[in-house]
Amino acid sequence: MTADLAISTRGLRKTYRKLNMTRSVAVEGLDLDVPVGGVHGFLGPNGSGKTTTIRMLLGLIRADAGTMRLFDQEVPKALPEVVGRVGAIVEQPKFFPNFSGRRNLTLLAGAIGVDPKLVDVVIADVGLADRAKDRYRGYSLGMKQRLAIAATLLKDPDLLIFDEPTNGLDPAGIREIRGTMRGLADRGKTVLVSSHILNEVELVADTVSIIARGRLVASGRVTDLIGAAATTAVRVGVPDPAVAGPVLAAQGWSARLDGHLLVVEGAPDPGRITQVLAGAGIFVNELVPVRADLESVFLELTAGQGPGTHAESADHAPHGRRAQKGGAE
Amino acid sequence: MTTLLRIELERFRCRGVLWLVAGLLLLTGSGYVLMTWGHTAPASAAEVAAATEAFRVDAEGAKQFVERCLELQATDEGNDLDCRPPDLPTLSQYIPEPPELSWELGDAVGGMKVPVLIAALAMGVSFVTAEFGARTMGTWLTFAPRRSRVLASKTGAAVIGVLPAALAALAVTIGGVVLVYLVRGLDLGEASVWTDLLRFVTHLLPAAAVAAVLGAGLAFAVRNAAAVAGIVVWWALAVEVALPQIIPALAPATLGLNLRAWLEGGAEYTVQECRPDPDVLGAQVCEDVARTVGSAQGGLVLLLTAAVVLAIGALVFRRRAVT
Repeated sequence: MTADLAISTRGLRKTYRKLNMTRSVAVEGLDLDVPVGGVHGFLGPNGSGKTTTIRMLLGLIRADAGTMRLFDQEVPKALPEVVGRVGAIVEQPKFFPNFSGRRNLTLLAGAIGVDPKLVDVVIADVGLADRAKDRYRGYSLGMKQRLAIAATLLKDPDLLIFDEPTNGLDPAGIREIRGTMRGLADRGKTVLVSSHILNEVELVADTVSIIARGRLVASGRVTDLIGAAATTAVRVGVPDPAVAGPVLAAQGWSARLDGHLLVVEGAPDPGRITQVLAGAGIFVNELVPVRADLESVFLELTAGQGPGTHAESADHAPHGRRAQKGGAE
Repeated sequence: MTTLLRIELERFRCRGVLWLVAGLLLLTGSGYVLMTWGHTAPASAAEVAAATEAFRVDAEGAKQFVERCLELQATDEGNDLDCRPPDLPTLSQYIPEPPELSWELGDAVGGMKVPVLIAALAMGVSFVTAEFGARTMGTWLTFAPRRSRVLASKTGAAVIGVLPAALAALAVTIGGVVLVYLVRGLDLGEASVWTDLLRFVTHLLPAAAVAAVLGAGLAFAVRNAAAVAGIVVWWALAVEVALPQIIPALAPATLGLNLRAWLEGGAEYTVQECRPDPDVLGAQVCEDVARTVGSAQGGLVLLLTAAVVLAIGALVFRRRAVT
């Protein structure tokens, strides 16, 4: 464990008893490291153990085994000491429906000894000033989510944990949340965001951890993960793919038809493809390098590891890809 | 801890359901005042007329009795008859009179016992289960992670919050009944009325506090108001009603008997004691023997029960996941 980690877990395990008295594994030996600073995406299919992990970190669920540390302090034992540095939104956080947004936050501010004047500041920060006096029950989903963010900001925490923060939000709301997360990270905060909207995470995250069946399957910088999964494939548009295919194959490259385009793999660079086809009198009308994105990396790593499937060791992750631990360093 | 308690009291104050329960309690107390107003009303014209007629008939009967007696006395057969007129009541004794204040107060405040305790239990339950029901406990714990403190502050707030409601209801009841007597110009009776009343009230309020603790403890243990209601009904039927009938010696274990003992300065229960019949070989003679549970014992049992239930609630709350 080192002080440059905001979150660190080792061998974290959690099982749930089912009605038939058997136990289902939610988290199985999870080793998770979240570096201090920046936005860290926490990704995994539904039921992979993301929320359970977050709940364990916050002391809402007891872990069966393993250790957890927040800012190098062991939790849940030291949670009362470290909780002031951690703001969290777990799934859809709930507030008292009959209280106004301001009153809800004032009560929370009282619990942590924060100046009540800060309540209006954080409410303004999340754009709820006009509705602060309204009852929480009348808030839209987006407003509730923004109030939850305001609640986390009350502590001025060093670590913010957002569990599916964009659930139910419209595109504008999602963009706002993304901006908020990025802004916090730019101010030196650490943001852990669990989400299944991968392109959102890709846009905002500096590092990610991907889990499946309760185990870490990959971790590191987003660029590194995408880079590792990058291929040299290129989509090529030609007037007659049936003629172009054999020409490309003659170069030792693979060419398969994908719709009206040819997907060419093995070419050293796209320029060589145009050169070869032009030499054969075939002129390219479309040439698109196939780039790997976080979604493709995620799908590759978590293929067949949705909920209800049996836990599998990270060392035997799909396609032989090993988890890249500590890739952020 | 003080901060958490202050916040919980603020939440308690803002819960509409708790105000509703307190309102119902006040309404019940007001009902007893209204009943007192009815009991102490001056006799109506019809009642006075009926009483006058009854008095006239009795007086006429007495007169006829004396006349008949004197007639008989005049004869040889009745010369030893006593023909003094019977002691007739006065007309005022035929007219219904209001009950004494001590009786009316005892009836009204004694009647408030069950509503106050049920309201205290319900408030304790509702205050805690609402937080689990609305799923705000998870949010709260991310700000105040020490669960024992959360439990203590919530239970403390329930106790502190229940007492003013109970006190207000009792004040309305007692004040209302006394006011009725003052308005009617009736006698307030002797000072001992107030001593007994003070004793009852000072025992009822701690009992209400214990009921709130019980409610909070049960709510922390099962987290659902309907489940708590189920447990309370089961306990009432199985332990309070059935158990003493099946095993009379276990009657002192029931909360009802201990509550009565605490509130009324002692409570009796009977057990059957049997001994060999000296006249018939192998037979037994049994008799019911009254036994007493003292006020202190009753209070102690109530306190211990609340402590045990709260401890169970605390254990469950500490170990169980919060969503």
